[in-house]
Amino acid sequence: MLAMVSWLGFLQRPDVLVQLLAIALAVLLARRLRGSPWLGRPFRPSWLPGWIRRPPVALAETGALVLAIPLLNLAGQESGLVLLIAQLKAAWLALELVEKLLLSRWLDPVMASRLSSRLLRPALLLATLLIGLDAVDNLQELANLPMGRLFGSAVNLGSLFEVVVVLYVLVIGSGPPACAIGWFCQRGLGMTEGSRRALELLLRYLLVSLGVLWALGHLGFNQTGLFAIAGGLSVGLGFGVKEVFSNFISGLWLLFEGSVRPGEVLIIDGEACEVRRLGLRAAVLWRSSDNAELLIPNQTFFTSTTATFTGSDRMRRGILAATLTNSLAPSEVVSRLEQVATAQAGVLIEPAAKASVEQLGDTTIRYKLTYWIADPLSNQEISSALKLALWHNFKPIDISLN
Amino acid sequence: MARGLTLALGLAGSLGLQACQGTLPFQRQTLIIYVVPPGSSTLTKVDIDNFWNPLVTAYKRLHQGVHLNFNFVVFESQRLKQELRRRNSRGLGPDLLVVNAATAIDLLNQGLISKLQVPADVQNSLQPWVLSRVRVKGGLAALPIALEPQLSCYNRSRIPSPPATLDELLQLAAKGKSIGLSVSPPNIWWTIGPLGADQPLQALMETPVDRPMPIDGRGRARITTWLAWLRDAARQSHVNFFNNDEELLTGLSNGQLDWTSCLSFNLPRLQAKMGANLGVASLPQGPHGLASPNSLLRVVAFGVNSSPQQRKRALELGLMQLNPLMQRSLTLNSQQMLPVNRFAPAPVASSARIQALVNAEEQFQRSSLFARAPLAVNRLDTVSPAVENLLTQLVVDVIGPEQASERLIGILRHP
Repeated sequence: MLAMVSWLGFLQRPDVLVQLLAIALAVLLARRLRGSPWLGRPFRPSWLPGWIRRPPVALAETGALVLAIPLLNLAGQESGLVLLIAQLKAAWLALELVEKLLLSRWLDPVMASRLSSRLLRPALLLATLLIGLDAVDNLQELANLPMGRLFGSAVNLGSLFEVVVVLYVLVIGSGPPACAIGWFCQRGLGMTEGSRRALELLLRYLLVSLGVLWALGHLGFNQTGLFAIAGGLSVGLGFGVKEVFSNFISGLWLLFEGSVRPGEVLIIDGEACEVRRLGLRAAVLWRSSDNAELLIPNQTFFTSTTATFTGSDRMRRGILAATLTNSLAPSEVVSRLEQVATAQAGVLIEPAAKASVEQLGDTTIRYKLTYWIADPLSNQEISSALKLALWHNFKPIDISLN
Repeated sequence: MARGLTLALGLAGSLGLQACQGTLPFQRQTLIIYVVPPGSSTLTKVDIDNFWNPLVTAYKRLHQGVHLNFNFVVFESQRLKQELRRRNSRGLGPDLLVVNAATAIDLLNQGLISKLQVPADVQNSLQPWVLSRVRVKGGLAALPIALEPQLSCYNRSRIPSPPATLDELLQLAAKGKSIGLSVSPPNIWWTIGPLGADQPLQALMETPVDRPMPIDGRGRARITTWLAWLRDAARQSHVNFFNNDEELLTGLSNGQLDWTSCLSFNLPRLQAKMGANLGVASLPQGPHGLASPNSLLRVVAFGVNSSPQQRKRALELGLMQLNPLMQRSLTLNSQQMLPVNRFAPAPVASSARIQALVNAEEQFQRSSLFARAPLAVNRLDTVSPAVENLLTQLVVDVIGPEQASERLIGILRHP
């Protein structure tokens, strides 16, 4: 804290104040001139590309800062601080360009946004902070600041910082390499989509686990310390963290077993839901009917019965009950029901749709139509479309469908 | 964004102006002080506190209206120049630097620190030879503050009385005591005096390259004798040579070594690890005379970015260190530094260690090449890596003393 106050001492120096003033002027001028009409046509001929005629703000500011450097040198002033700010501005500008020109083209928007907001921008922000700290102090010395002792090992600020950064990068950045290995395995070994996702998750767990082991070693934890942690955990498992641990182990078990994997379709509370993620504690399922995401503790799947549409194949059988007056011959109705179902988009040809008579009444006959669809989650839409098609087909005869 | 930036800069400027005028709520001025340990030595916050706290306390007592903040930053000497160049160009360089005299001269030559004018009475209070090591055209490169001589450090529980001669040193090794020596020139150069190689080596380093060979056959023989002693010492199983001086200190503090040479700069660190077992004495003499140790002259140099106020405070602080009372308390508190003020004699009666430091400093004055020819030492700095490589080959018996002697003469003649 005292060191931070003492950094204010730099503001007592004319060299620093002049440079700060130059930075402020350069930035303000760049912004004004960029949009100014009087710096118009003569300076912005139409043959120049648009980004030069009206450059992005960051580019204009960086350019103005770079131009300020020789001016300061001509005036016999130091200019290293202006150069540093210009370099940092250029780095942020470069990141924006990478995001706009590369990431948005190569990756899907969600992935690009995640990569940018969780990895690239935090990394550059961290680098900027470290460069700033190094400018006013000695980073190496700051890294040696003692942070106390953990299980007999002295921990300093630098090692703690390294551990946090490495673990963050592993948790956030292990996704793409795991994806790549999963993709190769899927191609090479002919894995299913679910198996690929399971493999990715396992790889990420493995990387993070290795990272935690490295972190403990890096912090200099001795074996006694690790045993103490293990002992503490074993007591904790009996009390507070039992559920957490149970969910974690259940998640791993389910992955190995392959019964609940990302991409699987399960019936939860009577509705088909797709498994989106199998996390450390809970699985995230997507319910198509209302676009809700359900967070279900892993041990639920481990301890209760779960119906799946994607165990051995992904087909789902739909059933419709149709009730018609007995004005039509049952054989004709059965034939027409099967024809309409077979013609319906989304209904599989093989296995074929099958209609049968369920119950013969005094005035009405009840039929049952069974059909197969490839995507278990689209049953509701296909069922609805099929009902419409049947209604049109049997019009003007009254038909009751459910 | 622009408005925010303007506001921030306005605030910064206003803070700066208020700070200059001392009208901030805390009314403090700040001095950024870089402390650069010699060579590959390290420095802890405790070392810095031990050195600076008495001085800061005395300064505050003397200048009660002035509130100073100090930010101490430790830099390795290897990357000092590069860091200073970068930081000075940003206006973020230090106000004060605690370095060796030779480093200060080098930094001044490269425009990385500023020269200073010191009142005549202050100059008169300094030992003349101390002043000569920092005097440059038009002023001083830095302000001398203390001397840190090289001496022998040993484990008292293993060696009850330190070796007074080189023969005794080798006898200790023969009796199974572990001796550590260095192949780094500044650290092993203490052996050239007792073995008679100092005169020819000085002549080689001082004579310009375009002049005739300054040494004859006798001079060559003396150099060969010195190198032969090093080779013979290395053949003893309990004498070990190290490239890194840090290894010598670690070896002594861990109990792997029983005797080694060390700079007094490192005594607090050794003391902290070895406690009462740490013994200190002057280095052994030889058939040709006293040991020829190194002695660091620690100086305070002044940065180039300070505001006039900061420069004034920095100079006040620097000059205060030359006060005889401060010099005396510096020696007593640190037990590693000797005064440079000739009106502040070292309090030898109060500590055997200070007596050892004084003896080592006398050795330096009387027989060290570093004292006689400080400019020649610059050439040694230039060729140090080559000489270190050569000595390494000698102590592992890759080359003999005669061949090493010829190659050493070649290196010193044509750096």
